[in-house]
Amino acid sequence: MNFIKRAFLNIKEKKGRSILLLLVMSAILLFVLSGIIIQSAAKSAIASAKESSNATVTLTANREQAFKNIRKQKNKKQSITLPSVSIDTAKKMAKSSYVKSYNVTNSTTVDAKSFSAIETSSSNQAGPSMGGNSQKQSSSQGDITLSGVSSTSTVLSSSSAKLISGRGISVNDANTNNVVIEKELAKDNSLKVGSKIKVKDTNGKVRILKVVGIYKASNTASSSFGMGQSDPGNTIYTSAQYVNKVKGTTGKAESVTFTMSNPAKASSFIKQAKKLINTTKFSLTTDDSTYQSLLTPLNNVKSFANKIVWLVSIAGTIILALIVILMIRERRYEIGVLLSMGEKRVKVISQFFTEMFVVLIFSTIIAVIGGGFVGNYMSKQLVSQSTSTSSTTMTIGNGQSQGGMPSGGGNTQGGTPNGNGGTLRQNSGFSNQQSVANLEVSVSAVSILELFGFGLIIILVAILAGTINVLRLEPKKILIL
Amino acid sequence: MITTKNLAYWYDNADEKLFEDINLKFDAGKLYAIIGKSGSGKTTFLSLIAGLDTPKSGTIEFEGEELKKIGLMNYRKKCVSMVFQSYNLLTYMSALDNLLCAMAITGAKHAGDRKFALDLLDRIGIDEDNAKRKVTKLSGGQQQRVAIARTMCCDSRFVVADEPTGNLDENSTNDVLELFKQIAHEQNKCVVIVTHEFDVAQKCDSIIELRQRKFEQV
Repeated sequence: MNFIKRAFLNIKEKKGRSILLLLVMSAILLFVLSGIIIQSAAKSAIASAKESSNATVTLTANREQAFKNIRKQKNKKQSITLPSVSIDTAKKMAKSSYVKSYNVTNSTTVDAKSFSAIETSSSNQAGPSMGGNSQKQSSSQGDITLSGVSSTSTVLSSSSAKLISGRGISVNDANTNNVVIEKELAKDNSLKVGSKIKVKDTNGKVRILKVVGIYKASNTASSSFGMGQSDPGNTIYTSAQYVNKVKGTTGKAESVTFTMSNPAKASSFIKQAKKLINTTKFSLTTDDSTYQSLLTPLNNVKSFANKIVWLVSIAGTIILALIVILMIRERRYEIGVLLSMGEKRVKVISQFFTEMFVVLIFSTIIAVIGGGFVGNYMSKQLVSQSTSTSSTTMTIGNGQSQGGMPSGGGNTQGGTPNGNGGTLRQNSGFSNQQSVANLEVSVSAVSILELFGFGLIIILVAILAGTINVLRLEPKKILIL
Repeated sequence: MITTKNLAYWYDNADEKLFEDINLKFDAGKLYAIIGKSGSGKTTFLSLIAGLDTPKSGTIEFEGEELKKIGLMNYRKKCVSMVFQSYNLLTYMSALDNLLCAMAITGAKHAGDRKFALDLLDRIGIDEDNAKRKVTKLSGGQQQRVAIARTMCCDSRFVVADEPTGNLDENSTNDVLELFKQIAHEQNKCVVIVTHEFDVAQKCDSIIELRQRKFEQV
């Protein structure tokens, strides 16, 4: 252990050189730490993005394949009958560890009986007007969309539609006649939570529905199916099972949307789920655009931080190695004397390592104190760039979703749950922008350990590079006898 | 104690030998002086018997055992001590620490014994105050005495010195030679010094001159 004593004596006696090493080492570690903490902040931001940006996989009828089949047939005027999704199959698929939750979507149209549906006029006409059964465009198509879901928790907590009174539909409402209606529809018909309304299904049977909640549809939601039920106000939410009852079917749905526990695993889930379905009849589509659009700027930040860590480490090693080489040259007589006394080469290296190790400890303390400030400043610069990139991406995403499909009933009519996807995209887009803006940069124990590890490697490489030239010589050559 | 058999050394060209067929024997309890012209190879010879370098041909034996067998590092650690012209003390240490460090490295019997080191330094004229001062603050003569004390504190039985009086005035030279005599005669060690000063060599027990690649007893 004599080499430790020699190391401490050297540090104590050569104060100027020790301070110089301390400053250089601190500067190197400061930048390495900044890189590490930005890297870890980006990693945790990606992890939180995984949680906040709900990627979904939707199981629907394979329309493309259905069209291909009908074209192959001679009777081209034959109408397309899309197969319904079995809820039992969906339940099996939902058992996958990749699935966080799932939502069954089932819809049908009914006619308003004891109340009037909202009728939306075209753009050159005056605003919405009261309609009713007499004003329907087609006798075969009802003016109210009965949208069946497993739960309204996702659908009615977005910027497109929000529950404002009462409660939403939950799994406990399965097979009940409980419904959630739109605010304008309730207002125009003086309906409130607890009111009962009558509708007539396509078979002419009158059904009584109980209002348990009222939601407000976004003003921007627009029609895509013409008149009547296409107005978001005419969408009534109820349980998917009740819709089956109205349609006279059992255990069927138009689509099932699976929310992934990890957006990155959506494709793995699809691979797994395809084994349970007939892919010629059904298709699985992914919507992880929010996650992907958020991932890009965060990955950029992470990759930049990664580059900082490596570049500074390499540059730091080179700088330190040069300093150590100069230091060793200056001390070659000392090495020669020690070797001439029979000291082992490894102990000579250990002495230099101990000296640098002591410097490393103090440098780490300085870097930890300063690293938080530098890391914060650097991350603010990076985040301001990534946020603007992210905002642009999000705006495009939102625009597409709004222009594409309205939320609620409009989408379910078409048999695709794009409305949900759009809603999620808008919602997630908002929260993701926040998560990027709030990139938490803090010095954790893991970061300090990582920094210390980098420091150890840097000094080890620098010392080996500095001493290898001198230590491979015989003492006589070192002392130039 | 130390025997060389057919020792030869050259640098790059084997035809230009520095010395060859050297058969010498150095005994314990004697102070030897090796003299010769500058560049004749006396320091190189010293470095060979000190285990700092290996001969090109021939062998060196310490107490009947070849240095190769003992291992040069082990030989330097346990068997031989060196004194240099430029002292080669560890400059960031005090005289006392230099002795303690040498004792620790060589694993001497008195390793870690501060009192033993202080007494030894006192015996050679370095009082406690000076012993605790950084060696660079001592005079040349004092530094050389510390370097000699460093060889005395270790248990090695063979001491080699390369121009130990080269940087010293007459008084210091005499003091240093007295110390070497003490080491040889009182501690029964073998001391070999290389010098170019004939006056210094004359005070030694035996003089060996390196002339025309051969060693001759003077």
